[in-house]
Amino acid sequence: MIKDYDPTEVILDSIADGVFTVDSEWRITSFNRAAEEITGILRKDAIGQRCSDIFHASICESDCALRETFETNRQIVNRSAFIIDAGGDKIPISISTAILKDKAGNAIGGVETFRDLSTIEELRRELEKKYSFHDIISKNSDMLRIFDILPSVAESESTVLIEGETGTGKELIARALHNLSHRKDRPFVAVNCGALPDTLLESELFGYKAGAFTDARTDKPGRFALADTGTIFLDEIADISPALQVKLLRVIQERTYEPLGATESVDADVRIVVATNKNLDKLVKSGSFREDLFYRINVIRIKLPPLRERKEDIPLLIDHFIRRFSNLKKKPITGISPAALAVLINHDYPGNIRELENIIEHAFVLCRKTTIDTIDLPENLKPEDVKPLTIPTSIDDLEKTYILDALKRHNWNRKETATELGMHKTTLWRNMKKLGIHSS
Amino acid sequence: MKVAIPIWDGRVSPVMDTACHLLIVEIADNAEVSRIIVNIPQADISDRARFISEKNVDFLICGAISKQFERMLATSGIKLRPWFHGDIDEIIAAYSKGMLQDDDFLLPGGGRRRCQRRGRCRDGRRGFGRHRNL
Repeated sequence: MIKDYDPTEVILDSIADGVFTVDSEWRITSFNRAAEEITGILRKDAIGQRCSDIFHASICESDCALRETFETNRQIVNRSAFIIDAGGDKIPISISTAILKDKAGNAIGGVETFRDLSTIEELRRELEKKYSFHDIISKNSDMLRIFDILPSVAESESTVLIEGETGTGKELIARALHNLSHRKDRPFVAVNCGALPDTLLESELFGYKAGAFTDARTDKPGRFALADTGTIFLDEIADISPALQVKLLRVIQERTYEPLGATESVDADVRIVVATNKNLDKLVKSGSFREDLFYRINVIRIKLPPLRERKEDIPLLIDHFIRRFSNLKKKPITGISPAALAVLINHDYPGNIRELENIIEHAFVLCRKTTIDTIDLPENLKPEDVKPLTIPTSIDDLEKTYILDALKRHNWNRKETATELGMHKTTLWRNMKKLGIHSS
Repeated sequence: MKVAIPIWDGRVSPVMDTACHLLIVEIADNAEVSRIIVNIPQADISDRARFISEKNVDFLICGAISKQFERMLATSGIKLRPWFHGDIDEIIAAYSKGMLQDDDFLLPGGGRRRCQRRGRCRDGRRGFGRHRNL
């Protein structure tokens, strides 16, 4: 006997995306072959069941795409989620939904299509691995050199000084050092020395004994005690007072400290990592930072470049933040337009990576499409606020504009610019001199 | 004995990893003594595992759960009965009487999971195990 085939079923089974339909009671009415493969559940087991009992998606309970489609009468396209398949594996997927209507236009249920993103995710992770190191993303040569030395620095017990402008990722480096060290299973305690007044900072760092001052009714362990056998990260170290500098010097030299009101010293088995956004050499010269403490903390020095000096990282970082906010804010934004990318690459970022992160978060709030455009960027970045281009009036002007644009594209790297312009770097340098272009 | 079940709309939450509420039922002499519902922190699975273990739960009945979360809960000393679904009151009633049979409340496809965890099915496709030959 020849079996009758339902043409709709044949079509659905021939596509690579998972597709299922539900009736108004959320019971599955059809389940295609790809849905079987992705979820690991057979069609015969799925039909008639509640969709959440089959689909096991991260958004079923609190952010069901199909429910939203029913409530708003709007299709959902490419919402990110994960499902847990029959083997307990998390499968990243993107979900799209629509309402199913009968010939009279009455809603009779919904259809959900979902795409297995495992392979794409794996490829993305492979690519990201190439340019990332313990949550720090970069392909800048200075940063890659830092990535290279971090494992050896982490293995040592030496005090580390991390320098960099605000928002350059000093704490991420400190955490990477901790996670790469043998202390990784012990606490990592971060203290912002600039956020507390000096008197509070001392008790915060070293703790106090009951009766040390009026409100000290019980002993309170300090951050050094909390970080025992682990790592303590002292950010904005340049902001501590001369009195506290002396106490810190003693901890680093003798590996002991005294909590306020204590009569005995406590051993400090702690790896110390410090950071500053100020120029400590200058502070030492001006006398506001102790020279002996400076030499104690300046055992290994890591200098993080500001974002304006590693502009090649901007596209990578934008991708990273888009993915993160897409998951956090449940918005199907997948990329950025070339025009918006150009605006972001041309910005100087006084707030560094944190500023870029805030810009992308701002864009996520405003963006109603799947791609961030210039209109979604903060006001101060929009192209109309950028200085209008002047039209070159002479050959020299034209040449100057041409060379300047190329230099900016290559972050003022003369060798790369010369290669792009097809000239030797000495010729480029000569032309720059002739046209009055200065790298500053 | 304290039994916990992630709850959603009067039923077992579909996914333990993202469940928002936890029903904790105290059972003594085959009868329910008390029940409370607590919010599960919307944090990563290690924080969620710590939260559940701090509730001194002896037994957790849940729906779908990732391997990582399952391992984490097991190392916290919580006995786990995953891949269940259905009405919460029916499950508690059955459990109190010692009659919680897998077949009654097991999620569709749940019976295949045990054989599947030994490895992928022969044709390399995810999720079917011996049932591919059906």
